[in-house]
Amino acid sequence: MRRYFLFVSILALVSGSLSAQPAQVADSVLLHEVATYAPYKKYQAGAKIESIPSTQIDIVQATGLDQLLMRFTPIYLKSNAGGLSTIRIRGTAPDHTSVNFGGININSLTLGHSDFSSVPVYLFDGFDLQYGSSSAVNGSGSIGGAIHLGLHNNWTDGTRVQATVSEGSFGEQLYGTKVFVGNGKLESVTRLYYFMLKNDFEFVDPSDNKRYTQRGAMVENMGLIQELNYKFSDKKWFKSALWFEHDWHQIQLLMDEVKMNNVEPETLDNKHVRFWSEYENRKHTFNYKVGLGYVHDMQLYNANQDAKIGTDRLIGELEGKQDFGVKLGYKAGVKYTYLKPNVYAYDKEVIDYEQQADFYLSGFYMPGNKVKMTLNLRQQVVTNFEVPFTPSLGAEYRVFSDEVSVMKATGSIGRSYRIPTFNDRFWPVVGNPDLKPEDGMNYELGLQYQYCTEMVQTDLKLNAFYLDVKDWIEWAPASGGWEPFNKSQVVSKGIEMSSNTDIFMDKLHFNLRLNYSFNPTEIKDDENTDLIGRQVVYVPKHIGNAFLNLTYGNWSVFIDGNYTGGRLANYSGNIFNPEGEMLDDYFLMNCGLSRKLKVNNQHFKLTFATNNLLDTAYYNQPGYAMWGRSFRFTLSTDLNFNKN
Amino acid sequence: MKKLFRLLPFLFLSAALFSSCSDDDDNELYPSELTKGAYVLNYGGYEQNTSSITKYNYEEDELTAFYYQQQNGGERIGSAPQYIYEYEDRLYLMNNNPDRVVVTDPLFVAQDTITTEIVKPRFCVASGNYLYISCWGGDIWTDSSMSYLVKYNVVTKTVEKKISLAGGPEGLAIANGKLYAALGYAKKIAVMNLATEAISYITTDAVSSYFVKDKSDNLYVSLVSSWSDPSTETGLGYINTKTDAMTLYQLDNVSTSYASIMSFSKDYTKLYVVAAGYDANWNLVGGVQVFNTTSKTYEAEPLVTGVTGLNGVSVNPVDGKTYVFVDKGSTVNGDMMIYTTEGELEATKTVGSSPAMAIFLD
Repeated sequence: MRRYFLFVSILALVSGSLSAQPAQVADSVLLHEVATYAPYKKYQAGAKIESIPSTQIDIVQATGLDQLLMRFTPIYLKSNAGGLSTIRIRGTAPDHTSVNFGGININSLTLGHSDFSSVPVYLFDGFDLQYGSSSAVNGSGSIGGAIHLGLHNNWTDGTRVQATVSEGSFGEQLYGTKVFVGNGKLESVTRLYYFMLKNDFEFVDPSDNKRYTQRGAMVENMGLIQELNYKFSDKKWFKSALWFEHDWHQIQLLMDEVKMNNVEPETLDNKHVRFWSEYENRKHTFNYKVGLGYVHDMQLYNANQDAKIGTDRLIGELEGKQDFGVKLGYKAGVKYTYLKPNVYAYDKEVIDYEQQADFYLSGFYMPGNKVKMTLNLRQQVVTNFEVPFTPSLGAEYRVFSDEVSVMKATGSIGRSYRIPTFNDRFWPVVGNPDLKPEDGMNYELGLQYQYCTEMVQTDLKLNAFYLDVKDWIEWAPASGGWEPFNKSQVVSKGIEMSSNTDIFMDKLHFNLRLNYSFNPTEIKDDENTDLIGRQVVYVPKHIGNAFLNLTYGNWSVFIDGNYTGGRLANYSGNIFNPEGEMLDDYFLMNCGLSRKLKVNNQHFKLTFATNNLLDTAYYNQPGYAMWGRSFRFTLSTDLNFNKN
Repeated sequence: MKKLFRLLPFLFLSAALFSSCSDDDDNELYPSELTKGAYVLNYGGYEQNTSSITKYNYEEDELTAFYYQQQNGGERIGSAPQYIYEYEDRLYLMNNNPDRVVVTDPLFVAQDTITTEIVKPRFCVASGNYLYISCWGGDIWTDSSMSYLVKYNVVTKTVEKKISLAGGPEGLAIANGKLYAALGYAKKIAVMNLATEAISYITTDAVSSYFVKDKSDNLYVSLVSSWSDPSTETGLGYINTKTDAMTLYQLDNVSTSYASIMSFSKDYTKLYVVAAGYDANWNLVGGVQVFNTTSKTYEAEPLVTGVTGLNGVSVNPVDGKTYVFVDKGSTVNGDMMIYTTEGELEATKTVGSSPAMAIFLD
């Protein structure tokens, strides 16, 4: 903790000394990347939604989404070195965050969550994060948060080819390319990547203080997104994206297993086909959008063809919206999903297919220049399952504004829910179709201050939240083996602070970002009374990070550090921590340097980065080694033959 | 810019200085030198690293959590133990993930580790110089032919032989010069002649899990309905080890736990079996049923009923009290409920996660 505060203090000192430049009046438009999440904010006043900036995306483009989030956001993920990585936004469970690709929530229907290490950063142009409940907008599962995987439309006129080659420590390789071809109306975008990680890093096992080389932790992922977009006019277009993803990894061996010659790693193989297309017409006062999607997921454990875990989904959505001037508007829609499991263990007599339909209505109203209010209503209907009605209400109030600054107060209240997964309901013998949906209430208050001159732009946010989730589903031993139960009530509350400051001085540009989250959680009620009052496992109370990027002409240098507080790994403990095993807090520091080059009017970029600069030994799960200091070299090109 | 570069060395230096600080645990451990007591094996969870041994000194009513760690300088069991077995002043722990048999002295101080041919060890039993270890050999549910027995020489401390035995051997017992292996993935029981190592089979209508041996050197075997091999012909099988004829005493919902699901009363007149029953609302709830070994009938009243997560049962051979183990999850502590010989609940003790059995040492 001390290390973190020292680091933040020094960065703050640097920032403070530089920001003491003469302020100048500027347009009140901040340059921060707010454009992408604007559609989500339109009907969600008071919600905390942020975009991850492209500078940070560039730095970790060779990795999975887990590395991006752990490094640059106040979000914790339980992970090991390259295998399964699951998210815990605001103290919630992995299946309490929806991950959205177009109109599809890509979370597994059988497990309920996504492996964030296999969501490739490289394929996407942007990532928008929504903190807190948003089930009224995003549907089942959005109790702790939502993530939107973004593909930006360029309507390319000509040809543009981007390519990236990255080589790193421990046998890490990334080869990726993005090809944009179009005539300004018809556009094809092909995104392709291959990622390989041998993961043969060295670690010191604390049990004997000897050095070993990790084995049995290889990762090999590859993917393709093919977009085909057509613009009929500036107000009518068709967009489609087809995403093939094939991820394979060895299930990382424990430190104890690495030493033993009779242990070979197990493997997990995941194949996904995800397709989303939509036609949007904004020509008339009443706009409408039609969406169509398909998802195929298939998982094989140890390449066993007799134990397939797969699902298929077909999705259709129709949405209409209308704005009455700038102060009042609404949208309404219906989304239908047909789900068919292909799981070796399921009984077709019990579950052959399921149908779901979501009916939703959203609106915004601005009674004056200072106030905006939004309302969202959603009712989902599911075959043989009762889903709660889900409303949310949000408001923003502009406390003050002048030529260079604005302060807003925000607030929201919303109900959220999650339908039990297929496994929860239909796993043979122990699955329980009578489980209740998890039911959450989220309360949020926020303050946002923005200051903007030609030289300095800053965006400060302070948010407080209170999230109460009832009927939390967990699997526990019962008479027939392990069974799912509506077992707990969990309250997660906390404070989040973030700042984003840009300073421009001639050719010099500084960007400083700070994040901090204080998130105590408490099990309010549980069938196991021993757990009442305890903190939820794998939720650090304190988490924070700092990022400083300096750009001077074609040169850029960055340094970032992230602190993760101690977190409980279990409630059974060990002799040193009998009340529950604690994973120690840790601080990681990373840095890098990049240089842009222009050759024959084409752009190239070289980047050299060092991760875990201090070679900190740390653990995200008991018994699993993590990476020490590592290096990565990246060459990127952006060959532009555009006409526009 | 210059300001930043002037500060950077301090930043790195400070970070390096702080990073060299450590939070070494300075807890001193006090190994016990007293053996007598009940030792509860807490399985923990697969890949959870939450396994432990809880010692219960039933004479002094003293509970010692994390006993293995205490006795081994803070070292944890490391992997999930399926079973503990005592033989000639040595304890054998069948550990999974990583797979190994850990050999300790009676104070649970680790002495040796067996890894040769050990893949998913389940159970063991000894005769003469040999310890026979049942092993699944891998993902038995994908290929039931991969399993085997390991023949380990306890004198030379070497694995002498790997004896192929398909069907996923689980519990083992030795009686009348034969080794009996319950098979969890085949509806038969393997019988190996210890002299010739020839294997024959007793056909069953359900898969089997564990044995207990009575005073006549005959065996009771638990016959269960599993997800991969469902059956209605479940209950207790009584095997006459002279003839290998088996009689089924039918009982529904016999536990499929990998735990001590059967235990004789001190006088061998009762056999306690973990099997769920129905409550007043016809909900299936965990319980311990009682089999009268004289009348060969189940008693109408179970010893325990209505306990969610009931995992195993063991009887203290000294005072005859029955210890019932309640599993509440792989990362939370479980309970040990102690019943008097009259069947009254005497005490409930908190033990480690997923308690499965107790071994009584003196």
